[in-house]
Parts: sequence; C-alpha cells; structure tokens
Amino acid sequence: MHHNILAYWRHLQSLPRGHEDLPSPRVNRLMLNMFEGWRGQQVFPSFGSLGHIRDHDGEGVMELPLVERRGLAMARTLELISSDWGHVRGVFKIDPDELIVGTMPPYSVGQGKEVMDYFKDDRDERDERLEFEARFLNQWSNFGHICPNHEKVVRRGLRAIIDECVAFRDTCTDPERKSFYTSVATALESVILFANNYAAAAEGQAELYRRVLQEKPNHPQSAVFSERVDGMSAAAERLRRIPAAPCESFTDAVQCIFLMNCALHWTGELTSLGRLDQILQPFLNPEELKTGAAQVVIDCLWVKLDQRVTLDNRMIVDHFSQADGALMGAGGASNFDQGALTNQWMQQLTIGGLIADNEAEPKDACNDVTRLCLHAARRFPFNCPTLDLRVHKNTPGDVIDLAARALLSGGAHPVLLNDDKLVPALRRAGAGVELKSARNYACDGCYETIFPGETEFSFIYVPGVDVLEKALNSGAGFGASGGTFLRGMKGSYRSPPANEIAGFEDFFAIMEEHIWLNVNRQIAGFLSAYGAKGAVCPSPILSAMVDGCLESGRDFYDGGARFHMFAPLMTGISTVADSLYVLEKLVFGEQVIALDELVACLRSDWGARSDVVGRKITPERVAELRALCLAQLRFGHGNKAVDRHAWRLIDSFVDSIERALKHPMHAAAIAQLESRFASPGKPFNLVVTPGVGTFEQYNFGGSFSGATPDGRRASAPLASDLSASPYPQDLEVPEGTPIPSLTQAFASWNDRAVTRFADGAPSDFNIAEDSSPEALTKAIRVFADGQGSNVMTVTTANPTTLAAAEAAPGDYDLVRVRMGGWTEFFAVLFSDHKRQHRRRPVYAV
Amino acid sequence: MPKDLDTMLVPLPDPLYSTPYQNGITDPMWPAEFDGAMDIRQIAELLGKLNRSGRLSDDSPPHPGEAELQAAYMSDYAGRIARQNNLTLIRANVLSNDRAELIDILRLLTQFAVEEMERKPSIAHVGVLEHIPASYRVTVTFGFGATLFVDPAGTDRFGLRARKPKYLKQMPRFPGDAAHFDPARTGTDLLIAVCSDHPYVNVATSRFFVELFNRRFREAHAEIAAGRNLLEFVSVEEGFARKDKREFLRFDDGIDNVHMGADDLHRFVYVEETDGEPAWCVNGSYLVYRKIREDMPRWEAMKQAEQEHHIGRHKESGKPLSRQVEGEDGMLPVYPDPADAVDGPLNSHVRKVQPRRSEPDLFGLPDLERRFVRRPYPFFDGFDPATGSVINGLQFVAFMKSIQQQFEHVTNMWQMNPDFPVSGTGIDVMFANEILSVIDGGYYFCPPGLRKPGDYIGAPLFEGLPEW
Ligand code: HEM
Repeated sequence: MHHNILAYWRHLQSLPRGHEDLPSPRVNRLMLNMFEGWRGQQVFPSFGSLGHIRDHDGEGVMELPLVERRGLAMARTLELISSDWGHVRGVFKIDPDELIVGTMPPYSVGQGKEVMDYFKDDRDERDERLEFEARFLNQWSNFGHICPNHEKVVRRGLRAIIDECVAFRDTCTDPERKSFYTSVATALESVILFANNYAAAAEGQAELYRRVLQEKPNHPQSAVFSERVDGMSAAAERLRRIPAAPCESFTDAVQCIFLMNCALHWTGELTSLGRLDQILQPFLNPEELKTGAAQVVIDCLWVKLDQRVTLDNRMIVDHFSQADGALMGAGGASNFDQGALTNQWMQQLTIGGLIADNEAEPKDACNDVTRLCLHAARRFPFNCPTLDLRVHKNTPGDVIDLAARALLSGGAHPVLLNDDKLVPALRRAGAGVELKSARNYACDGCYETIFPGETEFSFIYVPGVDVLEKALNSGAGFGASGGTFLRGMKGSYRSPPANEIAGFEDFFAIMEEHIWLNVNRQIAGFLSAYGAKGAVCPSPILSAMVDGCLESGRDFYDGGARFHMFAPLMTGISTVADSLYVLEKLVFGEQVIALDELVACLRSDWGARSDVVGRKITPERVAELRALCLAQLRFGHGNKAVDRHAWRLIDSFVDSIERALKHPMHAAAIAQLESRFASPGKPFNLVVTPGVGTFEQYNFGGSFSGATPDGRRASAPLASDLSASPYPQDLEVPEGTPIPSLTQAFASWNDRAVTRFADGAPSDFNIAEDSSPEALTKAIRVFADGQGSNVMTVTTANPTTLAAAEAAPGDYDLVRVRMGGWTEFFAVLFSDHKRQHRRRPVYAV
Repeated sequence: MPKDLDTMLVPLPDPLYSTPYQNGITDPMWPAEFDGAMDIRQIAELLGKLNRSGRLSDDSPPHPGEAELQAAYMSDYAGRIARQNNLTLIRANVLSNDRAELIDILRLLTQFAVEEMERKPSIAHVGVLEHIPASYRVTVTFGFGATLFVDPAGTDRFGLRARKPKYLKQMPRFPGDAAHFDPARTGTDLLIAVCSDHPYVNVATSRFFVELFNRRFREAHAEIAAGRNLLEFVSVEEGFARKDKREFLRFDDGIDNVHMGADDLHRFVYVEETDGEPAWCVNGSYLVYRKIREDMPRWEAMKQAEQEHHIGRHKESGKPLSRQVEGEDGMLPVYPDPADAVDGPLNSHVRKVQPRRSEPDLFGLPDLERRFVRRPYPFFDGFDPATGSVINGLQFVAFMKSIQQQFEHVTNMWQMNPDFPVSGTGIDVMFANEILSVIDGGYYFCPPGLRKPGDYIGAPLFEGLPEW
C-alpha cells in the first residue's frame, strides 16, 4: 500500500521490467498526466454555459413536446462538447498516448453537473421551470445510479438501435410515443457524431506525429511518436465504426462502453458500468491475453475512468441544484452529503458471481476479464472504477486471493457480495423476477444490487434512530428538544411517555408502531411521486439502453424499464441495536437507570443543553450514566446479546414493508400505477429490495437526530451501513479496546434477517496495513462460504495513518477509504468524515 | 593583471531579440557551431582567459593549435548560454480579477521590458563605469504562476483555467527544503527575471517595475481610482555570476549543462506542438526557481576529496570521478553499472541528478532526455544574526518543457529518492548533509516571445478565449 503518489511512482521505478505490478510505459505516461490533473481543479463548464436549447435551435423548438426538446438538448450538448466549443473550454481532450479515447465530464454526485436547459419558462405561456422546481424537480433530476445495458450497444451497435427506434416510431400511432422515439433517435445520432468528432481529433493527432516524424525521422522520441501515430490512427478508425456498428474486438468493446459512458454522463446521467467481465470475455482472444495487450486495454480504461479526481478540497466546485438526482417521493429538496461525494461519479464495475441463466445448477462466472480487472484494481492507486466482486461457495481460490491482494493495496475495493445470499433474496423481491435476472445482478452506482440493463431504481429512507427517538419521546425527536421545542420536534404518533413504559417488550412494541407509521408514510410518498420525472427529465439515451423502454415506447423515467426497483432503507440499525441493548440491560434488566432519567439525558444531549422539560438530573449523574452506556457491548463485534436486537429490528422493518405493500391504504395508488404503466406483455411489477444504506450519509443522517442511549451525542454520525458504530466524535478512542478478528465478527451478521436485505447490507471493516494476505484470503473465503453479511467491504488503513493524513493531507494523497459503494480519497473528505473514519474499529485479520 | 570581461576582445553574444522565444531563457548564447567565420584568435583569447582553473589571468597556456581550439570551444562554449553577470527576480501578484485589466497590465509590462531591452548604454554612464560596453545585454523574462489561472481558493479569476499549462502548479515541498520554507506561500502570479551585465542596470530596471509601474498604469487608465495598485510587488531577489561559472562552493557549476544545437531547444526547453500543451504554450518554457542556501562553514570544513565525493566531480579540473569518461574533452562520466559506487559515490550530487542510463525508464524515456537548462546565479543576502553566518547560496533557475518530466522527475525519482539507485542510498548528499537547503522558490510558465512589434507578453493566451 502506498500512502502517496510519489511513493507509488518510486515503487514502480524499483520494479524489474515485466513485473506484474508494473504498467506499460504508455499507461504510466497517461497516469502521470492524470495525477497532475488530480492536484488542481477539474475544468467544469461554467454555470449555465451550455445554454438553452432555444439558443441553439431557435424559438421554434419550443413548440416541440418536452421529450423532444430534451433529446435535442442532449444532442446539442454532445455536439458542443466535442466541437471547438468544448476544445477551447478544456472539456474536450485527447491524449496521443490514449488507447481508449473520450473525456468524462467533471460531474460528480458531490459537485453537481451542468446540463443544457430545455424548459419553457416565463417567456412562454406555460412556465415549466416554475412548475417543476416548485415540486423539487428540474433538469438535473436524472438520478443515474443504475447500470445501462452496455452489452446491447456493444453487440448491436447504435445504428441498429436507431433503425429499430425509427421503425417503432413509424408504426405507432400514439403521439407521445412517437415523440419519445424521435427523441431517442435524435440523441443516439448525436452519440455517433460525438464518436466521429473524437475520431477526427484522433486523426489530427496521428497527422501531427506523422508530420513530425517525416520532418525529423531521428527525433529522440521517434519510437514513442510512431506508437502514437499507430495508436491514434487505430483509435480514429475505431471511432468511425463504433458505437454505430457492432464491436468486433476486445478494444472495440472497451472503447464502446467507455464512449457510451461519457455520452451518458455528459448528458446528466451518472450511470455505472455493469458486469464488465461478462460483456467483454467473448471478445477476448487468447493472444491478447498472453501478450499482456488485454491488460493494457483494461489499464487504459481504468485511467480514463479515474481522470476526474479532485484531491484538494479547496478545489471542489459546487454546481449542485435543489433537485440534482432527486429521489422519488422525498417531498423536499434533494441534498446529499457533498463533503463526502467529491469523487463519486458512480463508476461501479461488477465482476465474478454466477452465470446469468435459469438452469437449476448455478455456474461460476469468473473468467479472464475478472482477473484482469482484479489485477488493475491492485496495480492502480485509484478510486474509480470501484470493483464489486460477487463471490459464492464455488468462487475459484485464485480470484479470492487476487481480491485479498487488491484490498491490501489500499483501494478499499473490491466490495464483496455474496451471491448465495443475494440471488435468492433478489429472486423473491418482486413478481416476475426470473432466476437469470437475479443471477445477473450488478451494483448500481453504489453497492445496491440491481438487474443491469433492465432496472429503474430509487430508494426511500426510514431512519432507525428516528423511530427509536419517537418511541422514547412520545413521538418527538430529541434533536431540537430545549431551545426550540419542549420535549422535542414532533413527527410521529404521540405514544406513551417514558415513565409509563413498563418493560422492554412494551418499549419494542411502541417502537414497532413508529416503524409502521414511518414505513407507510414513505411508501405513500413514493407511490404518489412515482413516474413524475418522466414529464420533467426524460432520458432518451438511457432509455435506449434499458430493456423495456423501447419495447413499450416509454421513457426510462416514465415507467419504461422492465423492473421498477425500489429500496426502503433503514439507516442507523447498529446505533439502534446498541441502544436497545442498553435499554434491555441497564434500564429494564439491571434497572440501574430509570427510563425517564435516560430520556432526560437524551433531551439534554447528554448534559449539553439545560432548557429541557422533564426530570432534572445533576451533571455528575449524566456523566456517570453516559460513561456506563458507552461501556456496553456493541453491534458488529460478534456479541449475540447485542446483535440479536439488530436482527429483530430488521425483521420488524422488513415485515412492515411487506405488510404495508399489501395494506388497503396503498391499494388505490398501486392500482393506479398499474393502469398507468402496465402494457400488454409487460405488467407493472415493483421489485422491493430493503436495505440499510447510509452510504456516505452517516454524518448527514446522524445530523438530524438527537442523542441516543448508546452514549452517542446529538447530531453525531451514525455507523456506516450495517457496520459497527464508530467511537463518539467528542471523545478520543481509548487505547487497547479489544476488537475481534474479521471471522469472529462475522457472527454479528449470521442471521436469516440480514439476508432479507436484497439491496445489500454492507458490513464495513477496517483492517491494519500489515494484515497478512493469506489470512485475508481465508477470511474472504469464509465470507464466500456464507458467514457474515451479504456484502462486506474492507478499508486498509492504520488509525495512525489516518491521523497523520488528517494533519498532512499532501503526504497521504493516496490513502483511500470506503464510502458506501465507492472509494474516496481520505485527503479530500470533509473533517467530520475524517473523524468518523478514524473512529471505526480496526479488526484483526 | 586581471581584466574586466567587458574589455575582452571577444564580443559576447547578444540576446536574440527576434526569436519565437522570450529573451533570457536560452539567450544570449554562444553559437552552436564553430563556423570558421569566427576569429580563432579571439576564441583563443576567450579560452585562455576562462581556463579551467577559473583564474582570470594574462598567463595564457601555450598557444594551442586550431583544431584544439575548435574542440575546446565546442566543449566549453558552443550552444551554451552566455549568461549575463546579474540577475534580478521580481515577484508580483495581480490585484485585479478583470481579464481586460490583466491584458492591460501585461501590455504595460511588455512595453517597459522592450524599452529596457532596447535601451543603449549611454555616455552619461561614464561617471560610474570606466568603460561603456556596446550593450548591457538586457533580457527581461516573464513567467506566469499557477495562481494566475486558478487561485488557491479554486477561483478562476480571469477565465483562464482551461488554458493552464498542464504542468503548472504551485511548487510542492521537497526533502531538503528548509523547515520555514512553504512554497504554497511564496508562489506568485507573476515573475519578472531581469538579466544584464551590470548591477546598476538591474537596479534601474527593477526600480522601473517596482516603483513606477502602478503609477504609469494609473496615468494611462483614467478610470483607475487614485491610489489603486494593479500589481503588488512581493519580493526582489538578486544574483550575480562569476565569469568562470564557479560559484561559492568553488566548483564549476554547469559543465554538463545542456549544449544546445538547433534541435535541442525544443528537445529540452521550449514547448512544441507534440507536448500536448494548450496551443498558446508552444515556444514557451517552464521556469523552476529554487533559492538554495549554502552552509559555507560546513562545506569549508571538508577536505577537498570529501567535497569531490559530495559533488561527484574533481574540484580543479571539473572532470568526473568515473573510471571511464566520454566526450572530446573527457568531461562526461560513464557509469557502466548505475549501482556501482566505483564510479563515484552513489549519493553524490551528479550521480543523483543524472544516472545516465540508456535503457528507457518506466515512462519509456532514457535518462538523458530528462535534462534541462540551468541558469544559476550565486546570491549573497548579508548576515543571519541567529546563526552568526552569512546567507549565501545559489539562485537556481532552470528552464524546461515539462516540470513533471524533467525537474520533478529528477528531483523526486532520483535526487531525493533515498532508495535510488539502490535501496538505502539516501538522498543527494549535498542536501542530506545540509550543505544545501532550499529557502524560497516557485514554478512559473514563461509564455512564448513577442510575435510582432506592439505585441504583448502572453497575448496568445487570451486569443479565442470564450467568455467565462
Ligand atoms: C546550490 C545548489 C547546487 C549546486 C551548488 C550545484 C552544483 C553542481 C555542480 C558543481 C555540478 C557539476 C557540474 C555540472 O555538470 O554542471 C552540478 C551538476 C548538475 N546539477 Fe547541480 N547544483 C545545485 C543544485 C541543483 C539542483 C537543485 C538540481 C535539480 C535537480 C541540480 C541539477 C544538476 C544537474 C542536472 C547536473 C548535471 C549532472 C550531469 O549531467 O552529470 N543541481 N551541480
């Protein structure tokens, strides 16, 4: 593991020629330029610089339906980006050493994006802008966060898809569908133009080096220059052919996927890549594998995907709007935890797992490309792409070993997902899910599991800490008790006060009531908002790449996809489990704390606020109680006494979801969605995948909530996903806290309840940098064999490294940590995040 | 009796005022070829005066033959910078966020520079100089710092971000930097390097910039509020050269500085089309400035052999310590095994900064492609009351076409890499033993030269720029 870029280069320099960790000179040159870019500021098109579609196509364009305007706006965007306009602004670039050509935009979930406007506004008779923004939606609301069907473009080429689209348009009678098809065809044509513009740029580079070589045949760099002539000519030839036509080679396929990825991202859809090893393997010829040429292609893709990193957090830009990537039914502005998302642009790439078929016997899917990807993940100190490795009982040993070595190289990936648990859960998640879809799952843009190329996805939150607070505080949260509110901010049933709660079971039943209300509320919000984006931010390119859309003539955001997946997520489960254990043991069991005494502590944020109602207790007693609560066992350390509270909570949550979806309260809304979105041969089926995702929002999620019985302060971070809680931010981690080994800790997740999380329930582990590769390989094998949660992540970083990195970020610019489903550079994280990571337990391996 | 260089018979090369490059980077330069038209007696004179012992003396060596003179000229002078005697480095920040104002600033700076470079020595100077030279050989070189493109807070003040030279950034810290030196604070928007043969000329030119610029600007732009300054001058640094190229450590610094044939300018110094830089950068050059303090008492306490082991060359002759040598005059070392200390200690300065391996490295480049042009000037800053010693050293100024592939590669991968060429070698012993420590510096990009009369420095940067 290398802490900084310089140490990494020096390491590469020390390797003998032909060493498996030494990339080719061409890749090294590309990487060198890339690292230079990481240190400065990524070039964003400035606010609004893409303009409005009427600026480009004239006023007449405003007569067109919105979906057609959107298609045109996407087309103009791709044209602009790849023309002189993009060139002079530094957003259209080509490096003569490139094998894979294209430029990703600098957009990220944290920094936002720029898209060309296409709304009617106060100049028109209908003000769409006002209308949509009033409903917390806008041109930036495309969520990305799914895997498009890259295989379709690789195999068929865009020309065939355009032809199909035109045929659909010419035969259908419904004007809305006609517009949809027109929009898709327009946008896809522009992708071909986009590729051609890159081809021209590549040809220009080839010309330049050809000329220089003619003028100076003995140029000291003539060998490199003639490689460039060949490379750029080949790239130009390739980009004239694909993605319009089907791919014919391994490099074609990689280039095609990357170019489509660029086109999607530039037009505002931050999508992921899907099961790359399954798509690419058929194109790989044994010779390319033997000579190492295939590894160079994969390496070049890696460099391209990671070009947009920002390492210096003073260089972050904020183009975010109130409705970027809006969640369905959130009922408010969409704000994500930006200080954690600088370098998250959803480049998840899933490998391994099972062959996507309906056969009774599952077959392992690992292939040569799986291994090429794992090599790349180990060799490069990048954060993108994030590898997601699906494992199961029969995953080959060498793949597990490569995964362990990649993890120890410090990139906090691959994320490990257990197929034996996730495939059955996904199969059960909705009517009509075939085994082959479930076996084909991939990570969406984070770690969530979706069916690539056939799924639309959204999620809703049911914060665990919120329901805990409501149960303790008669339907109010503790966050704003004192100061603004009396006992706290109300938000749920007015349940009995603490002194009337007789025992633990009584308490749990009250909490379940609050869960039930919250789940129903979220589902109602989701159902009522479902499909709203279709009229606001249709997505023609993506629609062409998600099965179901072209067939039904419906946009991706208008219910077009084959599967409509939605994930209700309960965050903070570990905090709640730790708290329930305190309640069960100290309050109702040993009775060393009275419940209303505990509630008083929480209302006062463990003594930090004085203006609170209820029982008054002395500061000394508060301190004594907090110390006692903090000293209790925690979830995630293999202690069944605590862990079973998490399991029970999970069951209660997932039961509530299942019950709610059948409840008469939602029947009308569901029926309405069915009638609106079902079409012949394509029933409207929700695929419901419960999960835990805090993702990066362990700080943001914690910031709304009050103090908790486990000793956590108000507004303090939660644990990430379904992991052990970090030590409180206001206290230093005590020396010598015993922490079990990974395999001992797996027991905390060894329960059927956890496997109900079809969306994935990551157990995030930190391990020491000198952990043994053999031991880690063994631990991953144990995980693959069925121990632990259904998703596991590993960050390799010593707490001393993280502390030093906080003090001197420049010296630790390659230290990376796991954030939800992606990897982030520690140096660029905002301080609260750094502190949270430093307080996570470090497990023995 | 020693004579002043100005009185030498040999005409010193003049700056080349009409090239695609800025002045003061690779010019004035001794002609790269011995073209027969040169007066061989003058060359002999030159070589005789500046012999290897570094003494300026009349007792020339026995009269050499023509072939010998030619070889000696080629080795010592041809294609080398005929450095002026004095250097002044002026650093300034732009106190405006307006692109049009920035352009006006650059116009006026250019006008000042051209006036200074065109100014002829005047008879009025006889009072201070015994001898009026034909020219003071003034060059004024402008460099742009990274903060002109994106400031430290990430703001693109002039809409120039997309045109930032790709290797331009704030100088990072390196091992061997003095504890108090924070390069993030010493970098500036602009650097103006003034060189001439006479200190008075440097003083006058520097005053012209530092004291007059803002006033002149206001006079020329009625809309500028009274008292408002457009440039904030941050520091003025000085350096001077000995005629024999030796500096305080009394070693000849520059023996293996690049000899530049026509092709080498673009090979080592000036950006060309194939470098993947923004188009406006072609014919420009990166400037690396490091102010390096020398601990004289420590150095002088060493025996000559020890000093030679630090540098990796013989003190008197400048010859390498290696068993085999190359080049017509045997000044180039040969290291058959880059890890063998028989040819000079592995941590000696010259072995750490140029290992001379011909195999391409991990980026596909042989080591000699990483050379750059050094244009160093010793400095003297008076006395440091804290230590009781004087503050002196070298204004290390180097020009190159890629900071990353040249200066930083040399520094990071070799010189300051404790495990290069073999594990445990340690960093450059000159820094490890604290003879040298860096106390100031910055990275800059020097735009190409003026294209036509009335042009201003950096003009191509602003051409075809979109609104921002
Ligand atoms: C006060 C500081 C320094 C002093 C006194 C110094 C002195 C010398 C001397 C005496 C030589 C041998 C003669 C020659 O080949 O020119 C030399 C060579 C050289 N120095 Fe330095 N130097 C200093 C700083 C640096 C720095 C900061 C660098 C940057 C990396 C550098 C790079 C070089 C290079 C590239 C050579 C030529 C080596 C070769 O080609 O064999 N020097 N220096």
